[in-house]
Amino acid sequence: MNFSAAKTLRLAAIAAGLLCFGLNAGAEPAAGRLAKFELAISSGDPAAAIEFLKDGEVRGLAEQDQQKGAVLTAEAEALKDLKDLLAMPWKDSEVNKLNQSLAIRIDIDKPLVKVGIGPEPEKLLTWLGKYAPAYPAGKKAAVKKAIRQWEVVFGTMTDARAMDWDQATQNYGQGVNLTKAGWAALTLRERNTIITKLIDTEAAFLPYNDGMFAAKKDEVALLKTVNEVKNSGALSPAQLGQLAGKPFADQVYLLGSFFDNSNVTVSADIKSRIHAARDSMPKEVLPAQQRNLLGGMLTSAVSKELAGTKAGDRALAAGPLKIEVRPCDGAYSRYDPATGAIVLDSETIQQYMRMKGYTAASVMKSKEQVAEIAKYMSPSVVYEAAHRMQADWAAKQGVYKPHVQEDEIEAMSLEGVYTNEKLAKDPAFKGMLDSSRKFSSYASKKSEIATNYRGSRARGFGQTVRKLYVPGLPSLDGAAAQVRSAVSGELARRAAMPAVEKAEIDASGLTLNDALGMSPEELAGSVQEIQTAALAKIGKDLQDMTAYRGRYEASEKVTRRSFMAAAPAGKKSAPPAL
Amino acid sequence: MKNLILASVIFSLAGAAACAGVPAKGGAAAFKKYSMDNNYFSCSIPSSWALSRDKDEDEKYSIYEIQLEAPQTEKGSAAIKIAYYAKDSTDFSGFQDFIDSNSRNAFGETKSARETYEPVKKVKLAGRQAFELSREMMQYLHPESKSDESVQLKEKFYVLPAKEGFYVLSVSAEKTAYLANLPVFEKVAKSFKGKP
Repeated sequence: MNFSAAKTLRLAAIAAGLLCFGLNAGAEPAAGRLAKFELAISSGDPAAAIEFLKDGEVRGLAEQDQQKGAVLTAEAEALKDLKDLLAMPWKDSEVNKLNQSLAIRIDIDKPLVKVGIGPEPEKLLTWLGKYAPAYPAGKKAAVKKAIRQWEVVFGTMTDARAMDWDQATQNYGQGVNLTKAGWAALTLRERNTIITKLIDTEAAFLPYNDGMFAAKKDEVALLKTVNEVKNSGALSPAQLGQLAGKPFADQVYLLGSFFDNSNVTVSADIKSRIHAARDSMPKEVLPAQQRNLLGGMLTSAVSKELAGTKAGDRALAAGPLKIEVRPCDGAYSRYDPATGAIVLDSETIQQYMRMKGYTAASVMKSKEQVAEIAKYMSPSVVYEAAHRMQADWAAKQGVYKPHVQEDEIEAMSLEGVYTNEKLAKDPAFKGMLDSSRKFSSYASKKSEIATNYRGSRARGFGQTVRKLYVPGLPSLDGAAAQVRSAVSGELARRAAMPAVEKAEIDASGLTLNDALGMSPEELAGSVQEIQTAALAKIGKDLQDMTAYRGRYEASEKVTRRSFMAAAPAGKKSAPPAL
Repeated sequence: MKNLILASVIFSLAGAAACAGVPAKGGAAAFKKYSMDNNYFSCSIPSSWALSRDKDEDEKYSIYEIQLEAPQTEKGSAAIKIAYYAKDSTDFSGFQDFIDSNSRNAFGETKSARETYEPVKKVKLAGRQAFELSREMMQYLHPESKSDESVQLKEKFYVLPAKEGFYVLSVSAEKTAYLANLPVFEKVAKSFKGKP
């Protein structure tokens, strides 16, 4: 090998981060390897981070100094997590998801910032250039969009931008002035806040917020349907007169009322679309007392519905069900760990009642209607039962367990298996979901989750959930890294603190119970107010992630086996023989 | 006339490759050889596409796969996946299970308001028997919230049975970017070599 070729190879090895770690790991004493890992990780080297996490001997040595070991592990896990995140293919339509994922990882006090990636988002581009030079220009372009680079958001022709901010409007000479230099110093979270404000006044910024963009599109689609009805000739002049000049939401509500109380001749599809989108009429609204009653009635109806399916039986095995019906703030359901109740969204139930023509009074009197609602909402119950199992496990182990992507993978997988089982075995369930999915995004999404699980199974579905469904949640490794880093930093500060000051925090600070209920974000931001013993306990919980990982892996195996046993899709229709 | 049609086909394919961001030299896109561990498979992959692999996950699931991400263009994004499902992989019971699960939705339909699945075709690929699956679907971006925002995807799969396990070669793209990236996928597929 000539000198030039050897040099090229060596450079390539350095670029891949393999010279010190991948190639020579094990050949050098642990202390030497640790020193090299520390140096490489502090400069953000992801290959070194991955090798460090795999090197049990070096990790053991690092953890002899508990705080130092915790910080190093947290930084290594955060680097691995970032590398995995960026390695995924990100479609143009998913750039806002990537933005959310990066916003929770690159911010003040996050482990990545300690290794030089942030808080200014452009530092990520420098890191990519250094450690992922092989990424194509397209990937870097997606990252630039995701970090909301000035040129992407405001164009290359200007270095300044004026905007309104609440009452401070440009009309009165009080607008806010943004500059390119000021923008460069903002975190991604701050940039997103400003863009959300810009959306208030300029529709051109809508594509930067999926939720607001989608809401606008939904509104436009509904407006089209309303206009179709108005122009169809099906409404009487008096009805058209009632609609004239009314706010849009009121027009949708009135149309629903016309459909119920007269013979308006529009298609059943249009009627269902309007009924699904309109506000509930007084007779369809479940008041608090009736919601409580319905919750009790659903508790036994849902148990019957779940029984006999593998996924449903797992949900029931978690303990007696307690169902409540309440508004869930934009979600279809939620689990309330304080009461142990699975809360089903009252608006989703009311939407089903509107589509079926049921009223609050009729539901209270009819076991059949309650059973139908139980059937309709049962996939959500299974999904929340998985969250309940997660909370119960954490409580039983007495450990800190943040809400992470792995929780959603587990819950959505269990729900996907359940829906597939029911579609295969329960014609009434299949008929109900089939007829509802055209008008109800709830039913359509439950169907899609079932299809996605069936087609991609454990590995592929996990990738979809991480990337598409919950990119804004931290992964288990990411959350652990963030909390460990914050806790060890604070414990080091406490160790150097005057005894009186420390005693004061320990006497009046937040307790372990308070801290166990916090998200990684909240915990990292509150470490200075949490009692020392609680911090030490949480730090210890997260020191070894084996128990956490073991639980998710065991659950995944059971879910996968349940699906294979209950819905042997491969046996239903054989492809042409080879 | 025949020459004109051929020329126009060649022109449109070259244009498609260019749109996909594949650098062309003398009309040919730049490809390089990729070999998976244990000689599970090898194929030519486009040099300008981003290659990723998670070795730990491969071993955990006994699914050995690489993902290739297309350079982004205004038309949208695309990704190719080459996967070997080893015989001890438990995600699918076999190639037939994979085909059945990806050629219809959970209702057993091949057509719905949000999905269209083409009939499964028996084809020859790189000298071996294979099955071809194609589908077009709307995919929700926010199943966790009450928004209907979706993306329209078009996908094509080649499923190749093997004595032990099976292979899946797939391309998934936003509909607007599908045709531009299809020739790249076909070239990868034609170069594919796996265990018998």
